[in-house]
Amino acid sequence: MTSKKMRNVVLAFASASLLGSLLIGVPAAKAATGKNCKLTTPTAAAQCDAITVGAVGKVTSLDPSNSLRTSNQNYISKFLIQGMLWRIASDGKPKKDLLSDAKQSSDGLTWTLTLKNIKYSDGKTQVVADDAVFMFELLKKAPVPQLAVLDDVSAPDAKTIVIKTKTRFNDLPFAMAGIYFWMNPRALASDPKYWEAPLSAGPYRIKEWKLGDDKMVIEANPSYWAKPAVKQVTYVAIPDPVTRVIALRQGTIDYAFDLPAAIARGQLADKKVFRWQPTQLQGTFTLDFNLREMEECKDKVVSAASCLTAKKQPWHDVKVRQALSMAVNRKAMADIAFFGDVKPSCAITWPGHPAYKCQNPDRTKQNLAGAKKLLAEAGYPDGFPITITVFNRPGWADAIAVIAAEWRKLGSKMVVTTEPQTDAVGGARQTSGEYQVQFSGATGALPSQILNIYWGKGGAWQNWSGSSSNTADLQALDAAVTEKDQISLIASIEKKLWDESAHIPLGQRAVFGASRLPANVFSNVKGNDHYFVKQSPPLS
Amino acid sequence: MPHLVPNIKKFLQLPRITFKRERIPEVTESQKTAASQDAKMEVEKDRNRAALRKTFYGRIIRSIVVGFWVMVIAFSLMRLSPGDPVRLALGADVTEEAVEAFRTQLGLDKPFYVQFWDYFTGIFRGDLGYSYFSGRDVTEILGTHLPVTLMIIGLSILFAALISLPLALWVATSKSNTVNYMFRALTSVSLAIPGFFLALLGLLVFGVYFNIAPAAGYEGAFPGNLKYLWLPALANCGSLVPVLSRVLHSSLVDTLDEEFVETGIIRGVRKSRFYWSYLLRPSLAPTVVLLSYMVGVMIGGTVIMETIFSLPGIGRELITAVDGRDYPVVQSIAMIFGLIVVFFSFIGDLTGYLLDRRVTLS
Repeated sequence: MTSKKMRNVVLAFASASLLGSLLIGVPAAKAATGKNCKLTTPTAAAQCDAITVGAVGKVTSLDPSNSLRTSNQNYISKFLIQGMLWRIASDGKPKKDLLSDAKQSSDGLTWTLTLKNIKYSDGKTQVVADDAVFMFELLKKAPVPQLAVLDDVSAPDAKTIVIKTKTRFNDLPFAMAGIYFWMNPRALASDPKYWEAPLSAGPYRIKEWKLGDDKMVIEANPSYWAKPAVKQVTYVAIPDPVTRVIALRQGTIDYAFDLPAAIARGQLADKKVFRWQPTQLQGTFTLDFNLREMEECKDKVVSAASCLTAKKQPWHDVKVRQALSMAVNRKAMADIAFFGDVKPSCAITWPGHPAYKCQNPDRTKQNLAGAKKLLAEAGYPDGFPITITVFNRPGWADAIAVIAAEWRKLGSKMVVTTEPQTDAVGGARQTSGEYQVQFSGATGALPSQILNIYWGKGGAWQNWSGSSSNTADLQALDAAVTEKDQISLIASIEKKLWDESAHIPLGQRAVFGASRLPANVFSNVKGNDHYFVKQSPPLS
Repeated sequence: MPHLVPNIKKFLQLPRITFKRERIPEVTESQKTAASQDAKMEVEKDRNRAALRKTFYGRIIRSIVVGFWVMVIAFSLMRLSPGDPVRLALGADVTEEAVEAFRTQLGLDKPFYVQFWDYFTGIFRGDLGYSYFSGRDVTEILGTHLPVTLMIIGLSILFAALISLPLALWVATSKSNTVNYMFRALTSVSLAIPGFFLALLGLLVFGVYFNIAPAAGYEGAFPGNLKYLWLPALANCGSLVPVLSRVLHSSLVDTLDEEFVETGIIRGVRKSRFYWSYLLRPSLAPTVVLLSYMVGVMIGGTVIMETIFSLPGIGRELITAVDGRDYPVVQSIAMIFGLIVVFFSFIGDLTGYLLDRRVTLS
């Protein structure tokens, strides 16, 4: 072989080696492992060894006093690797988890709870009642509205917890099954370093995780009172929603929640491989008007964005707001922007809840003629300019595009601008009042939690909108004894909300997820974004 | 030298011609001239060394100054932009008392100049602050995530060089108009394609259809992590290759007109030596310098790649920090990026000088 040919051969070999070294070990798509862990495996027989889940972001903190406890990615820690007195089951209702018994006093102000005989994940440390007292003390340092009703938590003995509430609160289990209350041993958890590797009294414990890691691996907790159907779960942070779809398609992950529906439906169309899981949440999409009038702007002629509402704006008139509500084609919005996964709604309380009721039965249907009539009565027969802002999340920008198209039919002067924004910018503008009308969505475990956002004094959207409030209504709702009382009180609040129409309900919030796993083995809870794993025996 | 260009191909097939040196026994006039020329070369070398030292120290000072001003700009812009980091960190369910307490804890209730002074003096103590969200030490964030970004940038440069050099060389030495036309057209199209589109397309093709590029699940041990980095690096150099190859092609075409190239052909040097010493080496300097200045562009591209490919680099941390108004993280990362850009530009200038001594350092 000539030296030239030899050189070429060596060069080719070197190039192939370089390429090969880059690709060697590229795993074939990591399908979920386990002999009974296929898409078509019946739920009853399903048992998975290891699965991988795509999360929207990495877990940034397990410290309950850290503000990030409310962020979506940290839900991982709250529901699978933390012991809870009550836990949300697959049907969206709270069930006893670490409790063997729970009794409410006749006046409704005292709850007496009995713990199961259970240890933490180290196999040595016993779960005791004082751990609940410790959590209550932590909450006092970082109070949350959802548990503001708690007056005192005490532990008369190692297995008994006594909770006193300030007012009657029948939905305490719902509130305690949320993201704020879980059990950790006082002796160990008093050390701030503990939260880098906390013990677990929940179905899983941390196997592999370090603060700042994109990946968290959790394994079944041998000390838990039930056996989960999945032995190991690996969470991988995949911030880009399209990448989550691709990762699911290639098999790098087995389940993902909050996918862009349009792309996911196209890429994951093979029903033999993927199960679509659109999930209706316990929450509502709304249009929220800015009714705030800045005191400092009232007497000034200003053009700064923050003083927009100093001048009387068309939407400060309730007839205008109700007209705009009538002009929305909720079904078109749900079908076009959310592929029909969103259920059109006419109340803040979500459809499917027993208390859901439209004040005006036809309010979900578009009524352009009625809207134009109301606008004319308000003095805007041809419309006016308005800007709709929205956080740029899957489907949300499309939703306001549909709404804007319908509003433009109201008149020649109806100039509707749409502005998708990042969460930070949009959030800043909400807080400072630099918006006109915002498309948003809220969720909550209970109607009172969502209604508090819009009707409670200091509720997020009540505050940002400058709309009316009446906290006493919500306290009465929390104290309601029977479901009939609850429904009646909710109806009363919903009527007040409609009369003001500062917050226009559009449809029940929904997200799109997809899975390669057997049905009902691992998913997000119905009506919520808590994670759920099938276990035996089940929660009861 | 146009009459020689069509013959290059034929020339490159000719056998090599070698010369032998003759031994000169006594000092001649020419030797005396050579001796004074040697002395002049020594003086020139000393001058170059001095220029190199001066340039080196000057660049260090410039790096510090640039890094400082980048940090000042990032510090100021973050505080001027809308968004309250305290409220973003605490969320919606929070009392006003908690907001004010947290603001005081973070030192955000102090005047702007006090906050700046605290941060600036902290840099000299090695204290870059803590993330408002995770509580992590910013130094630890940089130490964990910066290497991933640097690896992506390094791989991007490597791939860009591996593609641009042979491509430009081939087109420059080709006599075909079609090749030249296709080269110009393809580089123009490639420049117009956004990096994120290339990335998603690559993920679809290599990740889904061929299944040789994982979409997520990065693991940090080298060289195993290369399988997660090759596709983002390849997508990242999509904007580099057209620019570098065109600049190099232009340099090569100019070099081909030089007399020393003609001399090389006449002397019949070996092909590999001809390509390197006579064509590439004199032409590479502007390309290398340009590449070093494009590191800033690559950093921007890397930020996008890290998000799309779920890589735990410093770019993704920056996006999260900007979105959450995490001031200490943003300020520090911006400062580090400024230092990286200046450092790479210095390396580029130095490499250009080493490749071609006609380049003067100032």
